[in-house]
Amino acid sequence: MSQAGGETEFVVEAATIQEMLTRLGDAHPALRPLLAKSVSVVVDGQLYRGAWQKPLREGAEIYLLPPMQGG
Amino acid sequence: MAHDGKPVAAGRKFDSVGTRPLRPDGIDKVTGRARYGADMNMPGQLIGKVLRSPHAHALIKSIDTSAAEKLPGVRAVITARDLPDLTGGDQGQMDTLVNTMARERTLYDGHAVAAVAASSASIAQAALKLIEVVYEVLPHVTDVDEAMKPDAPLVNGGVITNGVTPKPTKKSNVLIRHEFGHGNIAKGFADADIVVERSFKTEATHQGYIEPHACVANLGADGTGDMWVCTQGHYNVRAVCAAMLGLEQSKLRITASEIGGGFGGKTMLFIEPLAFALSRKANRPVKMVMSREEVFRATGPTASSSMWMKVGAKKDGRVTAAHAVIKFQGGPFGGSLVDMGAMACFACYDLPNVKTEGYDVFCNRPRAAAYRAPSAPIVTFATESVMQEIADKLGLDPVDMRLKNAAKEGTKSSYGPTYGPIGLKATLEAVKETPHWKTPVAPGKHRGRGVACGFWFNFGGNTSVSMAINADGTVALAYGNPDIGGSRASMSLMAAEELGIPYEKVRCIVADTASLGYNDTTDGSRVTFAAGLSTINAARNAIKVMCARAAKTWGISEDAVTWEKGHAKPAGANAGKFEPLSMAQIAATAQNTGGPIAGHFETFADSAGVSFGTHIADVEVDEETGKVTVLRYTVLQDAGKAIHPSYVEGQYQGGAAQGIGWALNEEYIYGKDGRLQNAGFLDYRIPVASDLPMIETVILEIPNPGHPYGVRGVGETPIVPPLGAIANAIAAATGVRMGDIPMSPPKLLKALEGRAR
Amino acid sequence: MSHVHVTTTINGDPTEFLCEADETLLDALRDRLNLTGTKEGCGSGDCGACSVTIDGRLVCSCLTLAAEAQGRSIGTIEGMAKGDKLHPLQQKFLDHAALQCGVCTPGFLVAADALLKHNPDPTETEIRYWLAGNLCRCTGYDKIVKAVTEAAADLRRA
Repeated sequence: MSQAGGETEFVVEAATIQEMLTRLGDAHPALRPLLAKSVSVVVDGQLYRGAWQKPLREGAEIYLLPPMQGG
Repeated sequence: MAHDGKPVAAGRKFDSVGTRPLRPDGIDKVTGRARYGADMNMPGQLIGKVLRSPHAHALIKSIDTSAAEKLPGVRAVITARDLPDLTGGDQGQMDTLVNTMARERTLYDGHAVAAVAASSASIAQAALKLIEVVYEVLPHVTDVDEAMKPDAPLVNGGVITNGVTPKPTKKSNVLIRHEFGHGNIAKGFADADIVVERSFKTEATHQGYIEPHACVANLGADGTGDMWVCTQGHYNVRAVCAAMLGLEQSKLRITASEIGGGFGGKTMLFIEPLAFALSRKANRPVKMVMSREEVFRATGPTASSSMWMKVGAKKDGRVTAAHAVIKFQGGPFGGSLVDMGAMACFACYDLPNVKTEGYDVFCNRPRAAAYRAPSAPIVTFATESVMQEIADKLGLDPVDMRLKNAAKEGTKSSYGPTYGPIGLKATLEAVKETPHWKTPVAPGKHRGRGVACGFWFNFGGNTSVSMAINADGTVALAYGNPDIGGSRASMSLMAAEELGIPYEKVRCIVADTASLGYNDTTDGSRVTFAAGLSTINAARNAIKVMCARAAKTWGISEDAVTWEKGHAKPAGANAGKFEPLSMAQIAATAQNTGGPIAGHFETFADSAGVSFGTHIADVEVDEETGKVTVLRYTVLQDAGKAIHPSYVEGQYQGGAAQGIGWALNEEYIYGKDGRLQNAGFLDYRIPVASDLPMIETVILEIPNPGHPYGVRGVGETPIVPPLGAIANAIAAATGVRMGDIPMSPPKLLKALEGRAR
Repeated sequence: MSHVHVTTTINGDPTEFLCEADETLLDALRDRLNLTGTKEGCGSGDCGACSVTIDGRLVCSCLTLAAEAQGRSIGTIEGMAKGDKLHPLQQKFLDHAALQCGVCTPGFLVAADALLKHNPDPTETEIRYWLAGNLCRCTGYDKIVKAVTEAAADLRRA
């Protein structure tokens, strides 16, 4: 969050998760190293970690969460 | 949608799934034949032992191994010099390298400093004594609050904290600050009729698996090697050892032994890279087994924490705002999983305004590893305590108050995502139907009942499964996840269900790293879900092949063949009059119809469903000794679909028992010298049979749309509610609200005496 | 250090081995005799995973010197089944899913066998207190107690 100068919400144009991550990294280069590590992506309430090709609908709600682990 | 796009049929009747057959590894385990990590020996093996720092924090001025090297029987001695830095600047890999063996500094009591391989254990021990290490002792800190003070000794040099604006100019022990939430908590609190604010402190605990870490490593000079190891993830062992030692992954073959418990603690590596390094240097196999003391001092316990929480609610019990500040220490590298804690904290509730802040703090303690729903028991203790306090102050029934605020399908969770179909409300409503709830607390002094909810995210991940149809029509199923809780039985049930054959016809093994594509670690409650759906899909692929063979045999098109109860059949009368072919019949002619028949499936499984649970605890408090007896305990939890109900019950009971131990007695005790005082099972007291009652279980099934049979992982959630349930029961029994975990007799006595005054 | 020569009986079989004077019975069983069914969980007598019997008496083999086996009769998990016929305790543990990882199971079976020889009709409390010397981290003990109770009933009927 602080890497993006304190902003917490972003609007990005993208057709897939991979495009979204790339465009976000382009807009805020300081975020790139965080996005490159396995970030968890939540799209419209569903958690994805391996689905770069997943298509995003218009107005999709996206959350980026830290990599998560279980025990 | 299920993985194949077909929605899960509600109320589907299963033939195999949901039954309770005997597990395939059962006879070996009750006769002592099963081979665990320490039960393997390789010809010509040496025994490896580790020299560990006795200081909480120190510089290593020098290490002289010459005398040890000269001892007859010693074949190799290694220090950090034998583990060059191949991390390429990756901080995570560097932390693992340093944790495996100290470089310039030792960072906790028990940190590995050197290792020896010798022809016997007694010679190896004698060699350790001959290694001369000169330390310069540094100031240390082991408490999370102390570590955050401005004048605290800096652990491992300290760090400039991330996630804080403005960026600090001075180094501290805080690695990073996290924040989650939504809404406007100031407005939420302003709207509240009642506000409760509490502080909490929890001590670290250990997973307490009965089997210490053990491995036998064999690494040749050409980089080809194999290892037998008890681990939750042998693919991860391969990856980490290859990276650390500069080896090619394909040249390492890791075999997972039976594992005597893991609970997250065997997802990380400790002695494995050292065993390979010693083996390479000595050119002999090396066997390493940790002692119980080493397990406590130098593997990965949980974080210890300091928390503050404030919750506001209307008179009717509806929460208007929740705010938590959570501080975890997880050893000297960060990674205490405070971010998971901040996310899990309020996950059970539908909150309009919520904010959680998490601080990841360094301390001179062993590096934390995951322990069953890591972070969630700690933060849920706080949440369920405060929710109960609010319910008590408003005179509301504990279940009704939670129902009023419970997350449901469509709720925006406190950590962001919107929930799909979930089972929290179902577990709360089911509480009222249990014999436990319907029976008042047994009459007697100082007895009380507590309730608490809990949740875990559950994961999916990398999965590779292979299924071969044997010539006699039986099935050889290979998956890549060490079996901790009975998953071989569950995989076999799902394969049998999909193929339409008896469970006994399926034989399931855990394959080594050379035999399957990559598999993520057995953790995150992921195996029944991810390996399960992969097994089902591998079966579907095998079915496709078998139908094609039948079609060939009959001379009809593949679409004209259907599969039913283990047989290929013509799809309809037009397809032709052919007798159904069994798997045995199809397999018998496989070599004539195209060759051996197999199905396989590889995936990164997403759409794991979260699992919610509610626990009921009745306790009796002895006001003279502070001892708490658990009189009655019930676990209610959503399993999506219970593949093998006995093993689901087993997870519920086992997780509850660990949570009860955590709540009442387990803790890491550090002296002023920063050394661990209770590194053994006598003084690190886990529950024994006489501490617990029978643990009643209720399995609810709200199907997870992401799995063909509706499975949700269940392994972790059961450890999450007990701390809150027991704390609430103690409060009901005595009027005392404990904020300190464990709620052990000395602490409870003190609190009871304080109440009397 | 020169070795001690031990002559003993293990699960009814005459056995001889050499061991160091300070070697535990647990290590001798596992490393000298390849009887790896008995496990080391703690090495300090706190977990019961190393439970064996010496002349019928339940002990922690990690607290017993190998040399103490001289002239005595040792019983381990490997001796519980008779050929391919499981002991009722073993069968009940399987039937009741009274094991998950299974590493504590040999110790529990040896200890439960000793209990039932001593008290063929134990109450739940008696079972729990007798088995309090055996740690299990996986099951929470519920199914173990049920398995022992049923095995006891079966043995009384036999």
